[in-house]
Amino acid sequence: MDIWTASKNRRSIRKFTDDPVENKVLKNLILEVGKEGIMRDLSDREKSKKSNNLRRKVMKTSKFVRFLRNGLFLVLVASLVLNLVGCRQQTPTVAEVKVIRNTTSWPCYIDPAVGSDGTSTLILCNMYDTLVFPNVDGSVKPWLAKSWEISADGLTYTFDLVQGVKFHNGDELTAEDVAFSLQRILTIGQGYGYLFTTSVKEVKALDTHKVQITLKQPFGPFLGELVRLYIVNKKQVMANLQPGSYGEFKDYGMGWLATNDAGSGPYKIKELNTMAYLVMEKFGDFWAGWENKDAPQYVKEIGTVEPATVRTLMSLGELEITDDCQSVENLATLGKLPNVDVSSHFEGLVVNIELNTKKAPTDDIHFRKALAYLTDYEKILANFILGSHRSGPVGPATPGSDPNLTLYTFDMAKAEAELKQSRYYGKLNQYPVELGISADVSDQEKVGLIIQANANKLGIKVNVVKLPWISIVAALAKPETTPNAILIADAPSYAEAGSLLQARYTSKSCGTWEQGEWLQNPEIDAMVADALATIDQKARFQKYYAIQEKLVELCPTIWLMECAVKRAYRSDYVVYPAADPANVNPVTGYNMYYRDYKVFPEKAQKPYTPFVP
Amino acid sequence: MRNSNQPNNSIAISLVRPKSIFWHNLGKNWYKFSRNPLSIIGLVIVLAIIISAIFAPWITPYPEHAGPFVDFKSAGQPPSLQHLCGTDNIGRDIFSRIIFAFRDALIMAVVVLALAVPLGVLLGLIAGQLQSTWIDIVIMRITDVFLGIPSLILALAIAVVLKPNLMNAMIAISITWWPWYTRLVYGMASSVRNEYFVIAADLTGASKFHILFREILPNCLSPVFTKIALDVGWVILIGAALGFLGLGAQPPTPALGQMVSDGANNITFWWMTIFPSIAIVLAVMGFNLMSDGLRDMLETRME
Amino acid sequence: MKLSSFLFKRLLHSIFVVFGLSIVIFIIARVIPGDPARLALGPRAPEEVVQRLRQEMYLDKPLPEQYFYWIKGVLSGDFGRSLYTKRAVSVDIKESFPATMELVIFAGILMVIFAILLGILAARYKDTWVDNLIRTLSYFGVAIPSFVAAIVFMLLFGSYWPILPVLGRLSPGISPPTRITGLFTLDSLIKGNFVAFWDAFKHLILPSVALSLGPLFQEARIVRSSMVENMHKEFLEAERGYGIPERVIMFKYLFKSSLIPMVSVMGLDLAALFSAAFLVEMVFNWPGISRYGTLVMLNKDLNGISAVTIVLGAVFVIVNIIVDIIVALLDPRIRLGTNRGI
Repeated sequence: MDIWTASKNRRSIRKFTDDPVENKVLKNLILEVGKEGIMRDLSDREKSKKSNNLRRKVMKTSKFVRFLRNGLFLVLVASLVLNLVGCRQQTPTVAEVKVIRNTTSWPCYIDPAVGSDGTSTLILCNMYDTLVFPNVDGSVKPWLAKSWEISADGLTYTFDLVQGVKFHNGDELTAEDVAFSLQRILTIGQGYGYLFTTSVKEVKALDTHKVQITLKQPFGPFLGELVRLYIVNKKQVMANLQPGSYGEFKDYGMGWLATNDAGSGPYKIKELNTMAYLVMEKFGDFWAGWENKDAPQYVKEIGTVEPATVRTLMSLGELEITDDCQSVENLATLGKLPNVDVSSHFEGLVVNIELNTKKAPTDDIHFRKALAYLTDYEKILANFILGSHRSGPVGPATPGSDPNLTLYTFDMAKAEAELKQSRYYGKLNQYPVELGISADVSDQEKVGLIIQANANKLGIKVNVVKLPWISIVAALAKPETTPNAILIADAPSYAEAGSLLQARYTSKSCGTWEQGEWLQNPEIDAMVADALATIDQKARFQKYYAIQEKLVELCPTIWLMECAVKRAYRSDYVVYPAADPANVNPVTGYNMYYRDYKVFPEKAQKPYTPFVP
Repeated sequence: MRNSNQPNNSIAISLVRPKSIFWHNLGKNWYKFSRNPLSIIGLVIVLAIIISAIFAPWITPYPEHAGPFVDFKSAGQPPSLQHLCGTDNIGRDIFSRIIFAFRDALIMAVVVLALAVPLGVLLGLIAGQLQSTWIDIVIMRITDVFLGIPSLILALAIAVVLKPNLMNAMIAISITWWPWYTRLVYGMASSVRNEYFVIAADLTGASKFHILFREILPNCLSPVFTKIALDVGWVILIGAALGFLGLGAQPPTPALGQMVSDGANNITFWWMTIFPSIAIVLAVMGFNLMSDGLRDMLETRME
Repeated sequence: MKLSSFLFKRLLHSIFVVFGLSIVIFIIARVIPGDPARLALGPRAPEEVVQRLRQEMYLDKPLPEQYFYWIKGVLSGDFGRSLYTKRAVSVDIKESFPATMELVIFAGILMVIFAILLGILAARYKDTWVDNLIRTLSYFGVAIPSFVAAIVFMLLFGSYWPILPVLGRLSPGISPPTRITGLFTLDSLIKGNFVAFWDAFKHLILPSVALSLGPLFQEARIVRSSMVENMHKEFLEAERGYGIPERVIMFKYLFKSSLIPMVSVMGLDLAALFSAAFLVEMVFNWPGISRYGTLVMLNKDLNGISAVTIVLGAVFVIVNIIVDIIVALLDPRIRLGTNRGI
């Protein structure tokens, strides 16, 4: 049946083809044609008129589609125009806001009983107060505690608190809050809790401004440890409890404190975007006052350390100071930007290659010494975190570090001599050395490769394995799974060598990421315990020196360096206290104590993007 | 009307083993393949990659750079006559490393497909043959579950659980890959099953084994081969994606995804990013083009 | 009648798939070696604290019991506490899902529009230089993985040609619009905040293009091939006879009849965008659920991994169902149950 006859008998059209879509189209076409009459019976002129009509009907875009198209176009044009208009409106800002924008690793844990990594620590230092404040030389000065008494046996500490300290929400800080905070961190046990769970027996609030802490055994560096006890507002936390497993304390405020602050520090939370950034603002009623008029009013912690991002932000003038995780190449590029300087200081962060003393072939002391001698320290220093320097078990910047230690040097002859004395000499092929590095830090690969290349020359086979941090922690739980060598950075928790020595070399820390050596040496254990119990600082430090010398003899580690902490910052309008070596605080986090910073936005040169709170 | 997925000339093919048909008609097949110039280009690229990967230690200018090697003096040099693709931030020649990286990439593709394809095809055949029995339902449901997980997510989840090395990455990818083949073969097998020649074979007393592997399988194979050629490219891609996140071959072994990730960390050295990326794109493109040509050659249906 | 029974069967099937998915994911997550509680709390935490966390996470109970607790939680919306962000996973997902949603929707729109345009163009000018150009481009484009495209964009627009922003969802000076749907572009439009709209739009461009590049070209090829297949059908010849211009034929009639294979492929690609977004979000620092997923996977956060995988798996399944429904609506042959093979 062809189209012409079919159009005459419209009803008889059932289907032309199997395809229902085709059918529909054909049917409509036929109906159109039929309505207009059969084409061939019309004159030419009428024919063209009909087909034009048909064409016009067919080509009409539906009104709705047209409306949508025009609408979308209008919206885009309107927003473009308004954006340009808006841009012009934005330029006249008020007197520019004093702000410090800082990139940092993410996420952050701002609960004082949970956070202990770099980012969390620097935020806690600014949002909360402690009983004592760390000095540049490693001692402490009175802070919330204006004075204290230590009992004769060294077990009881009684603190007198400053009066009139206000929390961010207006409440006054009393001894109850101190006792609550300590009890809280002891119970929850995360973050810096470990510093107190081993030493503190109990805490009591004797009066509204007197608190007493009793220790389990005499602990010399206890006052130094107190810089990690951040005081929370008991009333505020108790008002915001959520269901949890701590009995009457429910979740102990962990849910609420993860995103809010209950502190009394110089800065308080303004806005926290848990995925991306944190904004803090100045707390006007800070109890110690604001003598420094040029301190920033706002602080923004931007949660990324991607090199491209940091570079872009700095070059657009949207960043005042960067994080300390940037690679050598990126710092060089940042330093070349106009008005950007790279500061370098030491905070006791040491990078070591920990050798597993319980796994072949690193269980042989001569093999370990051979590895220590074949490491090209100068080359590593030249290519990995420039500006660092050699270090022993404790970094030179940490109080209590032995200044007269003889360290291992790069000497291939001595390495070979030691290797010959080891019992694996001649069988090196059967005993490969597994060297683990962190997959998260890009520069560590260089260190691994340098050692691998040198070891190769002596016939030692080194396998470099990149492990994500979690795998490292898992592997270090047992001596069999711990690699022969693992590159790890560590820092003291408080400004004393004892912190690092205890965390790194006592038997208690075996199975944790801080000790890949499995040293388990009873002599070292006893020496460390004895040193920590010594209350007199001078005597304590002497004992630290002895421990460090013994460790060098045992050579359980290749001590690479103490890392320079480097940050790039805008030197034209920011005064960064740690850029001056005399002001460097050995306690991590306190070089980011923003109350001591000075910002002069009027002095800022191009490029500079003002901050809109 | 016409059931578009029925093979037209299956009756003629089934009586003779397909492999001999292939070589018998080599001239005709080559003509079909070469009609499209793009397929030739694909073939050339693929052959170039395979040959250079096999003979890598002999044809690359700096073969030792693919192993433990550091040379900071010549680090970060832009492309020049000495270093065709420049050097990376440790001083290793990128061109040599790319060619060595292809070795691992091709090995990964071969192993993954060697694991995934037989498993997938076997399951698909069994399910297609025993259609409407509980075995069929169980197999196809499991296949659907695995297809319901986006493959990158599953591969990632498995790879993070295991230690990061080449073998485990291969295992992770194989586990996500087999369902596609099962589904493909299942569809084909269940339609071929109803063809006359299969019924004839059954009636003449052929064993189940014979029917499965001698009658049904040969007719399902051509899309499988096309898919295999295509998949080599995709496996290289997913391997690169896993390598980008740090799961896969470990340093100093070169791997394409890892080289791109290193390039991202050192973005001022643009050659560190661009050249491995071009290598990945070229490899995938080559395999795609070649598989299109294979499809023209093997599949005679017009749908 | 047939449509609803088809729907019901599909739904049942999908529920089974999601259930099977949950078992697979759970097994993977729990097979992680090492002690997750100790991992999360660090080496220095005292043993009682670790033990408490272990009990909270039911780690000392047998596997099926753990699964039971987990499923109970999932069905009531509680995915547990992330060991990486230390917050409830459901809150993390709620915050990050709209970002990925926005990205995927935008990329999907780009994908659909340009695939159709390119496909139609290639079919219209078949065998001319336009067609060959598009086909060659598509071979090239299909081979580019999304993370490579993302990095190249980062390189181009971050370092050399800063006309488009490469980081995050908004420029630092602009505060995000009040949250109604979570999609910045939509929210700012609703509030009339055009500056924010334009800014969010600009930030969306690069990641969406990087995401949609590969699938776009593949779909263009499919559009082209299905239109070429249908191009010489009878009813179109009739229309040409009437003098209706090619353009109208292409866009109105031919397009609708070639719709089916296109829709199914586009739907699948849209669902696959969520997983392709993993790498793109990492590169562009886009705070979406895929980036969250990558981070929790790399940090072996059990609760996070299982939650993200199940959510994305469920999304995948839901999109598949929707695609199947649309295809069934478009093509009565499927509804009526004719066997079409694969």
